Amino acid sequence: MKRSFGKLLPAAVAALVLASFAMAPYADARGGGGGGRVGGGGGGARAGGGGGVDARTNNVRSGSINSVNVNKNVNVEGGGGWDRGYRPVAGAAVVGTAVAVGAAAASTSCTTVYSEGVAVEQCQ
Amino acid sequence: MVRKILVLSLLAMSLAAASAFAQTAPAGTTQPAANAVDPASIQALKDMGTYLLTLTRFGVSTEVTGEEVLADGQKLQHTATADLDVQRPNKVRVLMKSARNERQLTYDGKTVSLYTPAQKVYGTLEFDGTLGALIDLLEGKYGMQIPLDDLFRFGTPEAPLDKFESAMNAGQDFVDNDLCDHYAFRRDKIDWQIWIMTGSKPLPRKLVITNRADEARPQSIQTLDWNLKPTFKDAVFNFTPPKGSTKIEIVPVKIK
Repeated sequence: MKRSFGKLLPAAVAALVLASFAMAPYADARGGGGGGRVGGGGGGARAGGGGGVDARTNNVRSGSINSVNVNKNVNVEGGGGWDRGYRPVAGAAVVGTAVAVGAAAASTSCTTVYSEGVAVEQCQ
Repeated sequence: MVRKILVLSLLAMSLAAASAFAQTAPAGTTQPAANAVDPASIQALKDMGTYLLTLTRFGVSTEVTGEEVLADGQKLQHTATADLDVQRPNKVRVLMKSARNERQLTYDGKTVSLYTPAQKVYGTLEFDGTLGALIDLLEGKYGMQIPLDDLFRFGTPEAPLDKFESAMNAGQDFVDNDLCDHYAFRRDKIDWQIWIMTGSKPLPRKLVITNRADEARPQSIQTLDWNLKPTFKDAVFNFTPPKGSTKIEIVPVKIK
C-alpha cells in the first residue's frame, strides 16, 4: 500500500502542474489590458492655423466612418467624410500647405482649390 | 485501499477545480467568442440590395451625427445633412450642409460639378460612367466622399457579403413611424447596425457605424428619409455657374 501511494503522489503533483498551465491563458488575457490603438492617423497640427479655427481641424487623431463598404483607397481612420465640412489634416495631402479659405497668410502665394471636396487655400 | 481511494479522489478534484476555474473567469476578462454569422441576416442585406437596384429615380435625405477623437482621446460630436436626387444610372445632385460648410455636387452623366456658395467657387471634372464608378473616382482619386455612398454599392460586388465575422438579427425597432428589422454586423475594424423597413420595400432607414480602429470607438448615426415618387426635374442635374462665381481646380489627393 505504501508503495502504491508513493507512485500516486508524483502523479498528483504532475496533475496540479498541468492544471496550473491550463490557467495561464486566463492570467495572460487579464494582464493584456485594453486593445491597443490601431492606426489613428497622424493628426499633426500642421495646417489650419489662424484665429477662429477650432481645435478639431488640427488635433484630430481619428473619426467616425459613414460607409460600411469603404473604398480601399480611402483613409477610413481619420477624415475625408462628407459630413466634416473641412479638410482634415489626417487625410491625404495636397502639394503645398492647405488651409481654410480666409485663413491663409497674406504674404504667401496661395491658390484656392478643392482638396478632398473642400475649398481650401493651397499656398506654396 | 482507503488511502488509495482518497488520493485518487483528491487528484480528480484538483483537475476538476482547475477546469472549472478556467471556464468561469469573470465576465470581461476573456475574449468572448464572436457571434456566428446568421444566414438570414445576410439574406436580408441581399434582399435590400436587390430592392435598391430596382430604384431608378428617387430622392433620399439623411441627417448624420458623427464623432471625432482628439489626440487626447476626447470625443467631439458634429452633425450634417444631405439631400440626394438620383436618376440611375448616371445622374445625381447632392446638397451637403453643416454649420461649417455647404456644398452642392451635380453629375449629369458627363460633367461633375462641385459648388461652394459661401466662397462662390466651383470646380468641374469630365467623367462618363455610372454613379458607382463616380463614387469610386471621387473617393479614390480626389478623397471626396459622397453621402450615402453605400446605397450605390449594396447589391453589387462592391458590397461583399462573405467576409463578416458576425451577423445577427437584433429584433425590431421603429425608426420614426416605420417598423424596421434591426441587424448588426462585424467586419474588420467596423461594427455596423442597420434598420431595414419591414414589408415589401426593404429600404434602409438607419445606419450606425462604429469605428473599432480607435479605442475611443467613434460612431456615426445616419437616418434616411426616402421619396420614391420624386417630383424633381432633370434640370436639377445640370450645373450653371452662378453669376460672380470663380472656377477652381479639383486637385487629386496623394494616396498614402
